[in-house]
Amino acid sequence: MQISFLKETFIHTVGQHQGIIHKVCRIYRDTVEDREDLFQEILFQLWKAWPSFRDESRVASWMYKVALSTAVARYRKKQVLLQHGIKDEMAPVPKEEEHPGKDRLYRAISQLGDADKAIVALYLDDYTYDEMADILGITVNHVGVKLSRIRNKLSQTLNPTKHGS
Amino acid sequence: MVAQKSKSVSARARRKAVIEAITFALVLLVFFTGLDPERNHFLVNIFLVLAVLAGVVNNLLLYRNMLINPQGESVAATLRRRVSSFKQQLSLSIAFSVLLFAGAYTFLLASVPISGSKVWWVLLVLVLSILVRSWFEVRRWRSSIRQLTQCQVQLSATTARAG
Repeated sequence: MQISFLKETFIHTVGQHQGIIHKVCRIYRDTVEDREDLFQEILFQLWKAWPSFRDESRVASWMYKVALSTAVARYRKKQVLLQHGIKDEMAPVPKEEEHPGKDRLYRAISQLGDADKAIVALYLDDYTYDEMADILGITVNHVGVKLSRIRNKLSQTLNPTKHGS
Repeated sequence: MVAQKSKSVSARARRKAVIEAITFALVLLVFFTGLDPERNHFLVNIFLVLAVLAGVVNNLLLYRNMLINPQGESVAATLRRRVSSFKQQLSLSIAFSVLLFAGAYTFLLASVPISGSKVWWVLLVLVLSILVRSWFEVRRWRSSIRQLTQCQVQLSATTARAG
């Protein structure tokens, strides 16, 4: 009885914010297969942590903590693949709209380090510096410094000619 | 354009735990059916059984350590906890190697009369066996620890520069 109630509230709550999981998967994994794998892992970790979750007003922050921790702390061996060899796997995730500008941005983000990716994910979701600091476990000042450096890096990646001249 | 495909290491750890548990059981079976355990002192036999059981426990801990279990703590806290559990796992694996080889060599040589310089050769082979297995363990955990430590450094890099 209690488990079915837990299950229901979990599905309802997490379902409302599942965009967070999709975003984290897209930022941290390059192939569709890996994204699906990470999606399952994050869902599993959320489900395990769900009984101890209390503060329902901060579901999104909690989900980000679990999702980012899972993505960053999950060790994986990387295999570099050439694009023509993985054409099918690099196809956009179903249901996701084609958006060249957005794709370019995500490609640039994928070149950042794991910690920087976490900051960008939160920044794209309009989190305040305080919230980002709480989720990441660093100080508000560091969030500011980090974000400024990340903006520079992304700007260089997205506009190489401007920075080259 | 290149992409990075990930290989699930937790799935491999799970497979490894099962394969090693089966191997340990077979090793025990061979040792206790074909290698005259009755000639050994019962403590020697028990030592080998305990060493093999330690291997099974080691694999169970390994599998547990591969699970992330974030409880809504910050990303930095999860990374710290995970690096520490990986280091702990590495130490446990090395300790297990010492136990396993000590148990196996004691079992095999307890009833064989060894004298003079042969004792040193046996000890040398024992130490070499432990070193080789430990080296594989270090190699296996080094990349996991390095990847997480790099991320920790990235998170705290501003601390050093800004501070």
